[in-house]
Amino acid sequence: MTEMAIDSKVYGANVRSSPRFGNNVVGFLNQCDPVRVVGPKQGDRWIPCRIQGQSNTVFISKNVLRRQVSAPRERLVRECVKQWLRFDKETGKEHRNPYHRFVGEFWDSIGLGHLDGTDRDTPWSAAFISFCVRKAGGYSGFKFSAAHSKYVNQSIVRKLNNQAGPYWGFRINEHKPQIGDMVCRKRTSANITYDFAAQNNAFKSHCDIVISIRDDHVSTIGGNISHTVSRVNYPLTTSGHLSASGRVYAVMKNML
Amino acid sequence: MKRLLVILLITSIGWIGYRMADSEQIAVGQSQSDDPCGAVAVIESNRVQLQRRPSTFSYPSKFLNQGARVSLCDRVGNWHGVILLERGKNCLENTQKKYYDGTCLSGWVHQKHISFFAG
Repeated sequence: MTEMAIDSKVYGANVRSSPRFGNNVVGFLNQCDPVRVVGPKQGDRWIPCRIQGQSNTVFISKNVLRRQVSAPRERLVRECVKQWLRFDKETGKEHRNPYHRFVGEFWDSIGLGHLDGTDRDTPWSAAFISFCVRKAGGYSGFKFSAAHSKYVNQSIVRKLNNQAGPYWGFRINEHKPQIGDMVCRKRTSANITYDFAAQNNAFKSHCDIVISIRDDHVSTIGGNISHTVSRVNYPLTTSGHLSASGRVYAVMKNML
Repeated sequence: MKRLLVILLITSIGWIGYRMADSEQIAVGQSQSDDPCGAVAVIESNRVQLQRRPSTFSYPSKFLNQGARVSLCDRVGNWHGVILLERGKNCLENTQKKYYDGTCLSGWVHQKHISFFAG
């Protein structure tokens, strides 16, 4: 029995009652949803699986499955997808009902419950990250904050000093991004580098959480992108490292 | 000669006065996906001068009190081009031009007076 998770280009996968294409779709699983493999592959692609809480065997294409990573990483990326779905796949805008209340929950997770999505002047992307990490659980020592720069700096300092922590900050050519990592980029016109972030913890930045790895890019989910929770792809180099072309200056490796 | 010096003095004073009163515009981002400014800071002390230009050699347009929130939009050296945020008012909504032209007060605050809050 192998624990797997959905990893689809279209952010979900059909679940079938038999190992073939046809009129046999019995369900749909979202990106990162867990499944358990219960037998050998059938035909050229069909994996017999069991979905959590169900007893019957269903079939899912091997092309939309990946091996699960650690439990804290899986919890984190599932929380991101959950929020992406809660914002109706990027169509729910921060200031509209009920989405402004969801933004309020993000703020509440870092003790700023007086804010919500109707306050459109205060960027909430770091509150989103903090909310997802807190919800995932097990990330003891993470610097929950309204500013990305706080936990980026913390992760780099920990890496440089060989200190334990849930994240270590690497240069983009030092670590190939994996599921549950964070991609951190500078904002337009801000001149932020890895070395600057190692020395400072108060600067404009933005981070997204990696939920899928492809040959030429990683897919991420982040908050306050186009006024909602959005997916963003970051290009990879041929070696599998993040490309600097996307204004990326650091990758925070999930150590759990 | 004396008359020439007086004219020169008056011209200089006029030019300095004009420069002090003149405002320098605050540039805002124009990304489709990111916020126009992307960060908010809190004023750390009372009677902080909101300058018209990124310099102490400028007439302040307002004095800010401790706890006031400003959006950090532009930067020149140690000076931040800021928009003074007002509760219940979205100062940056529909900002689409290169320079801030919204209804909230804008100006320049020295880095030493602010504490980075969000972004």
